[in-house]
Parts: sequence; structure tokens; C-alpha cells
Amino acid sequence: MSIRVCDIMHNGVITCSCEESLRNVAAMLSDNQFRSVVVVNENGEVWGLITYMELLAHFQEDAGVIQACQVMRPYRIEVDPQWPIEKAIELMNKLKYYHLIIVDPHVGTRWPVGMLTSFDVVRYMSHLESGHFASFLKLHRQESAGH
Amino acid sequence: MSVRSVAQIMVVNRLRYTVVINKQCELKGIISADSILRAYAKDIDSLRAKDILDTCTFTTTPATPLQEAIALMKKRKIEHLIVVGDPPRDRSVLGILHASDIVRSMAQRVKGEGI
Repeated sequence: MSIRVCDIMHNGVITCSCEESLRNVAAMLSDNQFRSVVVVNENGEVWGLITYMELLAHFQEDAGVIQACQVMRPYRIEVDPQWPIEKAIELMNKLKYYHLIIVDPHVGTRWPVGMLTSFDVVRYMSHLESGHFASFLKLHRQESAGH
Repeated sequence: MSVRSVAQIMVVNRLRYTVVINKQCELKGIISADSILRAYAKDIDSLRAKDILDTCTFTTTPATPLQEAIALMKKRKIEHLIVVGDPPRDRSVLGILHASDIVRSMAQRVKGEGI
């Protein structure tokens, strides 16, 4: 059985309104150690995405007066949680878009339910199960000692 | 080292980038989560790290003004710069400057803590 997007995506996203200040967006990313914030409209639908790159572009400006909608990257890609993972990876590589917002078609095609990043795919590719990290680290130290 | 081993090290240590160095600690390239993703359909147990290594890296030094480093990241549309000694004589890797470090300083300014 093929792996679906919902099997490896992480559930939930951090959202902000279009009017949120860039100052607060920077704090949200930093405090939560997330790499992106989804900008939603008044109905909770996906409007755009703000990543580190959008923030970097305004480093020297007064982030308190800049609104999220002024700097966000408009986002119009719809990824279904039931997609096979290969289809999502193909889209990532084609568009060079490594943050895919996953929307729930049952609620509305613009309703964000999760996020799929390249790191989620790498975690899946590594074949590491949660709780097996300690044994892996020990194994790696032994390999290093042997060389 | 196989690509799967690199992926495991990155996942365990929650890293999105792995800097590859030689025995003299000199920079050889970088492997990102994105470059591992591009190897998805391949046999990553037989694929070696050097096969997906990105040798086109952008570097900075500890003495470089932060504004200059940010300008380079914006120009090249990259989230990180590798911090090296004193190029071209010294290519030893000292660390990595990531956009998250800069965003953290933006957030600290918000809280009035300064950079």
C-alpha cells in the first residue's frame, strides 16, 4: 500500500491574519521553532505563506508597521491529504516549493490542516522510528570509533 | 557514507543541513533536506553522500557585517551561509549562519532585548 501525504505530514499549522504585524510573525516563528506561518483570511482559508526568506527581506525595516499580507508569498497550491506521497514530492521538486500546505477538501479546499516539508520526507526516508534514536546514535559512535 | 545514514543523522539531530568537510576541516559542500528529497526514488543505501553533495556553497566570515551577510542571502535566495575562517587561505568551517538566527534577533528586538 502506497504512503499517503497524511501518513507523514505534520498536523496543524501556525496561522496569522493578513493584518498581523511582521514583528509578531517573527516572534511566532522564533518562539515555536517553526519555519513558516500560514496567512489566512477572515474565513480561515489559506491566503499566503511567510517563510524566513520573506522576513529576511525586511530585516532593516520597522517590522511593527508592516502587515503580513504585504510580504506574504501568495499561495494557490491545493494538496489533498490522500495524495500519494510521490505526487507531492514531484510537485515539490517541480516548483521548488518545499513547504506544502495540506488542505482538507471535506471542509473546504482552502482550509489548512497540516504541512508537508522536505524534512518530513527525509524523516520518512531515513526509516527511523520514534524511540529508536538512542540506538542509532550509539551505532553511529561505534562506526566513528572504528574508522 | 550512504545517503540514508546522512538522513538519519539529520533527523536524529533535527538538522536541515549537513556541512561536508575533509580531514583538514575544509569545506567540501553541503547536503540539505531538499537535496535528499530529490533522491527519493533512488536507492539511498547505495547512493553516497558525495553523489548528492552541493558544492556550490556561499560562505561568510565571523568578521563580515551582518547586513552584508543578509544581503548575500537575499541576493542568492538562500537561508544559510557557511561561516569559514579567513578565505582563501583558511577554508576551515567554523559554523553556519541560518535565517532562523536572524529572525530570532528580529524577535528579540521586538522584546526590547536588542541584537
